[in-house]
Order: sequence, then C-alpha cells, then structure tokens
Amino acid sequence: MADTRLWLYIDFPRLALQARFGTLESATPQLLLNARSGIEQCNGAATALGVRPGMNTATAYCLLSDVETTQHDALAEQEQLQRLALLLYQACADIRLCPPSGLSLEIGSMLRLYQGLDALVGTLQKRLDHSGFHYRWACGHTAQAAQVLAINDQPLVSSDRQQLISALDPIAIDRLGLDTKDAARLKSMGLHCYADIRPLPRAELGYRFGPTLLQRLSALETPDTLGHRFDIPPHFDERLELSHEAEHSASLLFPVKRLLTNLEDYLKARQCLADSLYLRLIHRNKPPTRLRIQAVQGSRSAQEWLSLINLQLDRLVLPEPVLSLHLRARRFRTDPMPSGDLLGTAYPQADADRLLSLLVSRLGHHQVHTLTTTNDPRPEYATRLTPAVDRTGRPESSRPRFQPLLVPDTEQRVAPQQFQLLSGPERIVMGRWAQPAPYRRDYFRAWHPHHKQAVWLARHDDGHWSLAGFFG
Amino acid sequence: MTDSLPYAELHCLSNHSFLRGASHPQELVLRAVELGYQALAITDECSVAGVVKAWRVIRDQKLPIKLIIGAEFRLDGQVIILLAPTESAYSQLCHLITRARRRCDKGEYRLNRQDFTLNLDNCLCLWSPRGRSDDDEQLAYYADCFQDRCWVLVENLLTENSFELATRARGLARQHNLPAVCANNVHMHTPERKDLQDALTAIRFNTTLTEALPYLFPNAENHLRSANKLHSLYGAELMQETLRIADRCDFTLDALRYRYPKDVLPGQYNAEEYLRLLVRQGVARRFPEGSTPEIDATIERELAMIREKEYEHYFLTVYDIVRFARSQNILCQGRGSAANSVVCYCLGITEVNPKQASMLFDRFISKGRDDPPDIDVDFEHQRREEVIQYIYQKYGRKRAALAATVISYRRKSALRDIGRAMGLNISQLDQKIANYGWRYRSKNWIEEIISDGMGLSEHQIGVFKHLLEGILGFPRHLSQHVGGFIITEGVVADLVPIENAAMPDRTVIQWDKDDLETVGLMKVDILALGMLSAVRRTLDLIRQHHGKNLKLQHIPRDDAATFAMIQQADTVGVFQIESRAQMNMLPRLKPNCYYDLVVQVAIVRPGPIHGDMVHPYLKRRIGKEAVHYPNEALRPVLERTLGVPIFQEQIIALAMVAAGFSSDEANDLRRSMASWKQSGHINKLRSKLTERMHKNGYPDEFIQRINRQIEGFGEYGFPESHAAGFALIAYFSSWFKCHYPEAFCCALLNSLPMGFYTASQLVQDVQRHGVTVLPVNINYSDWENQLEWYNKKTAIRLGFCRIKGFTQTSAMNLLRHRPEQGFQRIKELEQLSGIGTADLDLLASAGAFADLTQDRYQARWESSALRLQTPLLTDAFEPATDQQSQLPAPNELDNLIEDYHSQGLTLGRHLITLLREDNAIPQTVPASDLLPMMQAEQRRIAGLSKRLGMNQPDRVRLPIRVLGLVVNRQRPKTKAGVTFVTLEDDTGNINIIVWLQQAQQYIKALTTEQLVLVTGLIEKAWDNDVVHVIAQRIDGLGEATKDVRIRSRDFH
Repeated sequence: MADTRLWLYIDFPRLALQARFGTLESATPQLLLNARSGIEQCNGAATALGVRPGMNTATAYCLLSDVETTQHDALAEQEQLQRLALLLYQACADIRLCPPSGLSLEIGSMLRLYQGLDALVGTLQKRLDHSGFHYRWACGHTAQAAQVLAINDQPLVSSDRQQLISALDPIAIDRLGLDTKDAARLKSMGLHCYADIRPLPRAELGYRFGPTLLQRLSALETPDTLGHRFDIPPHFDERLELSHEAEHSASLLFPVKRLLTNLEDYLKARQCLADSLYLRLIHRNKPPTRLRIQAVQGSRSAQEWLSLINLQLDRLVLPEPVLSLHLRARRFRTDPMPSGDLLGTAYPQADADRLLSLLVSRLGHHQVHTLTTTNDPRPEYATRLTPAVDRTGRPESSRPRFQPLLVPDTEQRVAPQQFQLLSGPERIVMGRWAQPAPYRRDYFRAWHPHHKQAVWLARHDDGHWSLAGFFG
Repeated sequence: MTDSLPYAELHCLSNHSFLRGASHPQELVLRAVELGYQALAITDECSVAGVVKAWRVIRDQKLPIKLIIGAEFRLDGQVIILLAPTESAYSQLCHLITRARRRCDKGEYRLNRQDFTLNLDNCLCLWSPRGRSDDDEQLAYYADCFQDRCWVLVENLLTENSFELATRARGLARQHNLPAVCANNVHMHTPERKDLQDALTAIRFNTTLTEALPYLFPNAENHLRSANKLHSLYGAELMQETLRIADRCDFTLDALRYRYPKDVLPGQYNAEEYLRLLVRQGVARRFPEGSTPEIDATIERELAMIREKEYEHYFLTVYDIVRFARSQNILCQGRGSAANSVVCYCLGITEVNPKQASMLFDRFISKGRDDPPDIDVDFEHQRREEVIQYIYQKYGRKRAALAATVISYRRKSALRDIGRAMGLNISQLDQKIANYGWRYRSKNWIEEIISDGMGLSEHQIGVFKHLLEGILGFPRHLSQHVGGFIITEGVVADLVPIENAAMPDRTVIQWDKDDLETVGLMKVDILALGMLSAVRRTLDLIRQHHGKNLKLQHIPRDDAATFAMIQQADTVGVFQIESRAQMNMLPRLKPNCYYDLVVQVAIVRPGPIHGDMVHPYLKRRIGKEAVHYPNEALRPVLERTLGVPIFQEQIIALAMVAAGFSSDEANDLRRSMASWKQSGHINKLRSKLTERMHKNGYPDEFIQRINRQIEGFGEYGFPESHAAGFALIAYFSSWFKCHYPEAFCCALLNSLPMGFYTASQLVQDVQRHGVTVLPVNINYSDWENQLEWYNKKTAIRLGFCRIKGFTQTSAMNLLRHRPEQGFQRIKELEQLSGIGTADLDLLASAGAFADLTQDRYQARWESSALRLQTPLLTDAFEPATDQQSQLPAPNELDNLIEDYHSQGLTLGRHLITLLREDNAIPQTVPASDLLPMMQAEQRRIAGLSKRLGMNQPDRVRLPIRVLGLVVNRQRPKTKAGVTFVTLEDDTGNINIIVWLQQAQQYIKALTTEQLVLVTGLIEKAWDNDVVHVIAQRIDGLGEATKDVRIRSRDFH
C-alpha cells in the first residue's frame, strides 16, 4: 500500500520576540538579543532601518535611535510554542513540537476527515492568522523535507509527491539541516545545492563523510517523524460557553463546578496544585468581570476551589448577564507530601492558612496586609505593609535593626527635657541618591518617666526634636 | 589650614582599596592637613598601592604632616591594622601582603591567624573588636603575637551599637592591660563623598544602590573628622595615644634604599670603570673613522653626569639585556629620555646616532631631576618572551617583577557601572555606549547621553552626573604593565608587595610606573614591537636570497630614493607613517631627512593637533609663512621645529623659559600631563602657566594653543626622545620597502598580526609594485611565506601559515615527507603520518593541489577519498571506486570566495573587476584614475586662470562617484565629527571623508555594508597630491557581495 503520509511544517521565525512583545506591527524597533550580544530576531520596524538577525548589538544600536529590547527567554518561547500547538490541536491530532520554533503536523491521515488538503489547510490558516503570530509553512513528503522547505521560505502546500521532491532541488547545501562542517566541505567541493548531491552515489558520499551525512539525507528522503509529540499543555486554560445567559452570580456555580472538575483532573494528571485561579466572566458588551481566587497553600480539590469562588460570587453584582466563562490556572506548585506531625503544630498553621485564604477571598486581595522590615536605615522606610499573600515582594531585611516597629504617622515634636536619654546618638544619613532633601538625624533611646515608656527620639539638623517611635 | 590638632588618624582607606575607599590618597592628605592632623596612616586593605601618591603630595607640597604606612587585613570578620614604624617593619608588611596575595587569584587575598606569628617583629598592631563572644580569646592571641605592640581600636561611628562597642573595646583593653587608641575607619576625606562611597559599594556587590542598602554605611561618619567631634567622642587620652603611636613611626618612603643589581659587573671592575670600558669599545665600533674631540667631550660630559647621579648600574643593566637579545639575534631598539645619548649609542642600546638627531642627553637627565633615567627597549614582538625569561632566569623571580598599571574608570566604564548602580536598564545603557562616538561626540557627553532622561527624575539625573564625574579617574583594579620591569639587588618584596596577575605565572608589584619613578626605583621597559620582527626577518631574507649580510648600521641614512617614496605617501606597511592620517600628511610635509621623520612621527598626534600646531608648521615648512618666535628667548627651544612647538619636551622647556617654571615645577607639569584626567592638579599648573606667560607678554592666542596642546599630550603624550627611536625604525622599514619590496612584504606577512593593514592589502600593494606573489602550493610552499626565484625575478611564495586552521605541526609533517621531485598525485599523501583529512581539506580549499588536479573542487573530492578515515568508517562503506565522480569546476568568483575563506586574500582578479565585468555594479572612476584626473583638472584650471589672469584656487574640486569595498573605518578622537573610510577597488585605495551629518544620515550603509557607492566631491590641494572624496551620499551595494566576506578594520 502506498504511503499516504504527508507532513506540514510550520515555522514561527520570530516566536521568541513575539512571546515577549506580541504583535510585530509596532512602529518602535524591537530586538531580541542573545547572550553573546548578537541580534537574534527583530521586528519589521527594525528591519526597515537596516537591522538584520546575526548583527552585532553595537552595530544595531548605532542604526536605531529608539528601540525596545529583550533577552531571549527560552522558557517563554517554549510555552508559546505549546500554546500554538494547543491552538492547532483540535484541528490536527498528530502534532510534534520541534523546538525552538517549529511544529510538525502529520496531515496525511487527516485528509479524509477534511475531505481534502485545502479544507484542512484553511482551518489551520484561520487559527494561525487569528493568533497573530508570524509563520511560514510548507508541505513535504517527509517531515524533514517539509521543515527544510518551510524554513527556506518555500511555501509549497501540495500533496503531489513529485512536486514536493523536486522543490528541494534548489535548496542550498547549508540550508538542508546538515551538519555545519559537512555542509561546508560539500560547498568547498562545488556542491552548492540539493540537486548537486542528489545524483551522487551514496557510497561515495558515505565513504567521504561518514554515516551522519547519509542519515540526514535519508531523513530528507524517507518518511520519518520529527521532534517530540505534543501532549497536555502546561497551563490550564479553558473556556465554557453557557447554554443560556446567566443573569445572577448564583447561577454560575454549576458551570464553574464543571470547569473546576476538569481542572481537578488536569491537576491530578500533572500531580500538582494550583495556588491561584483567574476566572473571567464574559459579557456581551461590557468588559469581562475578572476574579482572582487564591489558596494560600495551593489546592487541587474542586470542592475547595468552589467554596472560595462562592465567597467571591456572593458579593458580586454582575454588570451584565454572563455569556461564557474562562478559567485559567497559571501558577502551580508541586504537591507537598503530608509531613509527619508528631506534635500536632501543623494544624494551627493549616488553620491560619485557611483563615488567610478566607480573609483574602472575603475582603479582597489588597485588603489583607502583613508587616515586613526592609534594609532602609531611615525609620520611616524601615518597615512597610505588603499584601499578605504576595510572596514575590522583596525579601525582608537581612539585618534586623533595633528600631521600634511602631512609628508615628506624622511628626510629633517633643521637648527633650521631658525624657531621660538612655543611649545614642545613632546617626542616620542617607545619600542624595535616595532622596532629594538632605537627610541627617541623630536618634536616641530615651525613657519617659511619667508615661513609663521607652521611646525613640530624633534630633533634626535644625535642632528640633521629634518622637520617632515607641519600644515595647 | 586650622591650628595643629593633637591627633593622628590611624585607620584610613584610600580609593586604592578598590571599590571601598571613596577618596584619592592626595585628597585624604590635603584634608588631614586642613584639619591640622599631625599624622595620617594610609591603611588600604592588604595593599600599599596608594601610599606613594599620598607621599608624593606631602613631599612636593612640603606639607606639615607625617605619613604612616600600614595596611588593613580582614579575616573571618576580624579587622587587623598593621602599621610600619620602621623600614624593617615596612619590609615585613610587604612580605605579609605578598604572602596573602600570592595565595589567591588576582585581586584576592587570604590570611590565617598563624600568618601573624611570622616575621612581623617590628610591625604595630591595632586590633578591632567584633562584638562577639570570642573577642576575649582573639585579643589574647594578637596581644601575644604583638607583645608591647598591640592596641585595642576604639571606633565610634555613631551607628546603632557603636557606643556599646566602644565601651566594650575600652573594657577589653583594661582587662588585657593593653592601651586603647581611637580611629575612624576612614573611607572618604569629607562626608560629601557618601554618595560615591555608596555607589562604589553597590558596584562592589554588583547590584543597585537600593538593593545594596544592607551593605551601605548608615551614615557618613567614615570621614576625616573635626577636632570637636573627635574630642567629644573619644576624649583627650585616646587621642593622645594616636600621637604616641605616630611618634613611634619614623619610616618614610625616601628611606627606601634602592640598590641597583650588581650582577652585571665583572669582578675586577667597579661600575664606573666597566661602563667607561664598554663605552670606549663602543666608540671604536661606532666611529671606525675615529672619534672626534667633540664626541669625546660629549661622552665625558655624559659619563660625568651618570657618575654624579650614580646611574652606572642602570645603564649596565639595560646594556646586559640588550647584549643578551643581540646574542640571540633578537632585534631591539632603545628609546626614551636617556636612550638618545652617545653612551647608549656606543653601548648598542640604540641605533639613533645623536649627531643626527639634534638632541642633547642632558636635556633628559637633568641635575634638577631626581627621577631615574628612562629607557624603553623595544624587542621583536614574537621573541620578547625570551628576553623576559632571561631576566627572570638571571635575577630570579624574587628580584625581578613587572610594574602594575592602575586601571581607572574612564567614560564608558564609569557610565556602565554607575548606570547599573542607579538601576538603569543595562541594555538601554549599552545602546547609549554603543552610540557614543556616532551620536554623542562633544565634550558634554554626559549631557548628551542623558538628554532623554533614561527614565530618571531630574533629581536622579543630577545625582547620576555627580557620581559619573566623581568616579572618573578612580582606580578600578591593578593590571600588568606592558613590560615595565623592576629589578633589584635584594628581594623585590622588601620594597613593595607582589601579587598575582591575571596571566598565569605572572606577578606584578603594587605600584605603577609613576609610583616607581617617585620612589626612585629603576624600571626597564621591555616592550614588544611587531615591526622589529619584520625588520629582522627582512634582513634574514636579504641574506638568504640576495647573499648580502646587511646590518642596520650599514643602511645609508640619507637615501634619496627612500625619501622620494615617502614623500609620495607610498608607505603601506611601513612603521608609524602608514596610517591614513600620516599618509595624508607625507606629501605635504615632504620629509627629506631623518629629523623630518622625527617630526612627522610626532606631528600626527593629539598634542600638536589639539594645539593647532600642524598647519603653522606646514606653512612654515613650505615657505608660505615666515619662521618667527613669540619671543627671542624661545628661539633655542623652538628653532628645530621652525618656531612651532611639536614635542612634549618643548612644552616643558617652553614653560621654563616663557613662564619661568622651576625645574621642579616643569617636572611636575610633565608628570601631570600624563595623568591630567585623574587629578585636578594639572589645571592649577595650567593656570599658573597661563598667568605667567600672560605676564611675560605672550599673546593670548598662543597661550591658549599651548594649553590645548598640553591637554592633547594628556591623551597621548609623545616626546621627541621616543619619536627619535620610532623615526629610525620608520626609516629602516621604508628603506627596505623601497629597495627590497618583496623581502619586506614577505617579512611583514610572516610577522602578522601587526600594523595597520591586512595581508590582502599588503599583497595587493606589493603586486602594484611589480612583485609576483605565488599561491600556496603543496610542492613549493614552506610553513612561512618565502622568497622564490621565479621568471628571473624574486617572487613571494605564500606559505602554509596563510591557510586558516592549518597548524604548524601538520605543515612540518608534510614538509618532512615531501619527495624531492614533489608529489605527483594526491593519492601519494595517503600514507603520510601526522596529516589528517581535515588538513587535506584545508590544503585543497587553499588551492594547494593546483599542480595535481584540475581544480580545487576536484582536489577536495579526491583528497577526501583518501584512506585516512578511521578503520571503522572505512569498513562500513565500500572503498571508493577508481572511477572518480566529476564535479563542476569552480568559476572565478567561486575561487575568489574560497581564497578569502581559506587565506583572507586572493591572488586572482579583484572582486570589483569581476563585478564590473558582470555589470553587477555601476560604472565609476577607478582609484588609479583619480589622481591623474585631478592633475589634468588642475592643469586645465591653471591654464584657464593664467589666460584669464585670475588667482589660482587653493584646491581643485570635481563632482564624482566612486565605489569600493570598505576596508577601514576610522573615527579619530582628534577630529570630532569626521569618519575616515578607506575603500578598495581593483586599482587601489580611495580615501573618503564622511562628515557627521552624512554619517548619521547614511549610518546604515556606513556601518553595515561591505561594498558602497559614494557620491560626492573629489578634492585635491593645489600644492600636493593628496586626493580624497568628501561623501555627500553613501549607498550600499550589498547584494553584489553577499557571498563574500571581507573584513573591514575599524579603528575607533
């Protein structure tokens, strides 16, 4: 039986750049830099001004007076590739990821379903165009051939095997995906393109170049797969169209539960917990209503998430009926094994976490704060309030100071005679880089005999004294 | 200055504790004097790198303060300060620093407690408590190590717990029955340096200022404090103790007794006798026709001066090194202040005959100068290491070491580090830095760079500028001097600590050349000069191929043909006078004697250019302007350069004559010129100079020019004594190019990389001079490029060394097995040992098999089938059939591309010729037609103006279009706003001048294109043959050359 397999290779040449900046339409030149200070990718605005991939960064900067740059983020690029695969997943079952920026689709087996190449390609094209990502593609009688044609900008979409094979002929030797050294050697023998090496006896080539070259050539000519199979996406991102418009938040609970059940299955499969969910309620005209639900220690259970969402929905007044739901989970953590809790102290911590989760859900993310210390020696800046569940903030002070935590909001002038000075002065001076006004204070620990209280006094440069804080 | 204060600061770090101290040593000294301190200890961290600078300012300005030398050490958080009260203590301190530094990589040090028990019998120890429970035990240990020489340090810097710590320190002192003494852990001379100190700390921790908060001082108390504050914090007793310690410290750097090495002295002579003997022998050799009374008198005067200064050992040491080099056939040439003496000429240290250079030895060793004489000796760059090894072998690593170079903050490094500390986006900053030169060129570069704010508030911009200005000139780290050796009679580490350099097995001392000069230590510069390698190789080639045993001293110094060649700027490959700017100047200056070359070498430099001295000199030289002197008193100083100061020495002499500078002041000016950016001192001297010259009636305009020239010399000082040495090498190389172009070019090719031109440019130049260059050939080539008898002429045969990636070992294996009649078939190479497939590929690519196969493609196909593969691979495939597959033959362009890839040059036709034939590029005027065209135009205009009775214009101009490959782009610092581009076509080079506006408008073509079409005006001056094109439009022709990669050399 004839081999009916056919491959489509899709290459996203500016994937890393777009993963960072999104659209390529920006009028500002955008550059993706690699670690060796070269230009890896650039947008149209940069190209128009003479920048080319591979160019030295310093040269590129000379050409551009205004520019946005980003470093190559391989992880973001990989995630974006997976998202694109997910986008095409519903149209084609056999998708293979070819990092850093390609997808190889076996489309031969899908042709019957779509009743022809055009319909399948049309569907894929629609999805890709919708994504906004710049791409180039080509069909091939082998996965490797499709890849070579695609990355050489030969946008051949055909199932004609002969046409596909002869399309490879003009491709330059160093663009065939061969080992760089082999390609260079072949070129130095005057063999410039695929058509030049195709008729050469393979034994002669093998004798001169070894098995690697033959393997590569064989991959171009004999059907084989490329890359690795695309599986479950790393993020949970699902949308649910409601069968009828929901006018009250309470009526959303049931469809939300469906999404959460899917999420629970997804998390189980990935053996992880989600620590925050983003739920978007899509309306017809108004902008979507966004909810962020957070579980302090992370959770997998649909029931737990439902109770947290319920708390938020309870308080929610819908601006307009809801058409669809969009649930995303992006931040995951590994499932901690239950620790042996001999002394039973874990329960209060779990209770505290649960309480914090409930407080955050009930009062909102920015209403619950905790006190942290900083490295700034100025008492006004030595402590600050940070969101209670935001763990991404700056680390706390590495050197806690003996300063009072309780600092008055406004300056309270005092007469130093009323106090007994216990120690000091401790002089605090900040550089001009930290604040425009000169900052120089002498601080004293002191005792207020009447109030029986230890306080912190500040002597200012102009000689006046103020209360800087309370100890104890 | 305030009244004397009974206090000595004993714990003070200068900015030579890199990225910690925020004040220069000089600033600390001056501030301490201002506050009335009795003494100041400079105690940099495991270093004495800053002490000489502090000492110099005290000595030069005769300041009433005692300098104490010490160092701070940190181990496990414990701070120990050691002070050197005596010379032996100083030597012990240097040894300790050396031990600690030599254990670690560059810039690091490591100590353990046991180190303090060894050989520190004379050092004083200040111990600082950490406020930890083991303080007691630690103090007992150090008190035991430094019996009767240990103090407990009380430092109250008004921090959170400093009062407790101070009290605790006093308690510990009482408990251990030790004296307590106060100090202030000084990091800056005034509290205003707090911002800079914070920034330095952030840079040290490689983070931003905000993130560096935990590491910053909480206040600005680490400065030199006032009397009031000291009294209120420490009380009289602790302050008095500082004086008791200071009183014990008698050591100053002038006590360092430098002893010249005596190794060079044969037993029966003393130094004076031996030097006299060698000079006498030299006279017989140098002046075979016999010495004249004048020469004898000069020698006697020089020897007397050397005797008076006791410099005999210095001259003998340099002589010994030069003698070694000669014995090994290593070419060398001395230059510098003392080198241009009859004594050095007789000793063979220099080839410059002082009779020909109108210089006087005593101008360079003056009685008023205490500095050691300075002789730099250049050696062949590829063989300098042999000389260095000889020095190490002769004196041992303990007695010979390299001087350091202090790497200081310059504009770009300052911008990058301060920017990072301010939290600026680094890639945005890099963008600014990359554009520096193209877009930002004026002196207000800081203003230009931050014109868009870079996301900073107005206040932050102010801070940013303040920090940038503050950090400029701050030392960043120590590096290895290019070749300055210090050689001592005793152990170097007795005089100055030694530390590891970045290069393996290299060590440097902690002082730079200025420090060495200040302290009076002898330094010999062992420098590398590529041209000397080329000259030696040329001599060898002439001997081998022309049978002439030529010596440099035999070369006539007044050869007319050589000077005619130089005057036509036909100087590609020649030493010094080959750059674009120099070549531009040659047809104008028209040098016709050796001294003209000395001027030529020195005139195209920032000093004379900034000082606008070039044009006046040119005009006077061609007789357009009369020679006159601003004042008759200046005649002796300026006579030899037609009344225009060109050399650094003339500026110094001028300061003495015109501004009445004393010998000391003049020396100060000379030193400050070299480091004018690092200290404001030069400005004071310049004001003094201006004021006094003004008073003496010199015109303002002249004074301003002298001032600008001083600034220019700061960028790159170039004294006559060095120009004299360089000019001689420039002359020798010109002479070789003129009379033996093939030998000279071959030698240059073998000495690459060096000079201004690529191998391709050198080969094209020699071909234009009628020399045949033959390709690399398996049967004829050697490893190096060689001369060969070809068609009854000497030709250059390219060697295997030109093939990129082909190693000398492979070449030697090949040569060892090459049959006498040569290889007849490629297959013969099959059995050669030590030659791999990769080697054969490289040879085939280079076209080396041209005699054996029809073309290089086929050669490569055939050579790759030789059974050189591993047996495993051979077995896996059928052996190749005898029937070889026939491959398509390469065309001329294919060959050209392969040539460039393989050897960086081609002997075939030029790319431009091929492109012209293909009509791939527009038709333009070739380079070789430009001058004749302009000469014809000049004749036409001359005839016209004669006929019409009009004045002749000063230049001829025509609109033109030219094209060529960009082989050089240069943005000289001396010419703001101009970029010089050199284009190469198949007939020669075309000089393009691009003004800033065009550079910015066509920046894309200018920076990214290899082949460009320039539309503009061609210009020729009336009185010389310099032709250049002023670009009005630049278009890239990239498509035509996309397969060819020819590298441009960019000099910024």
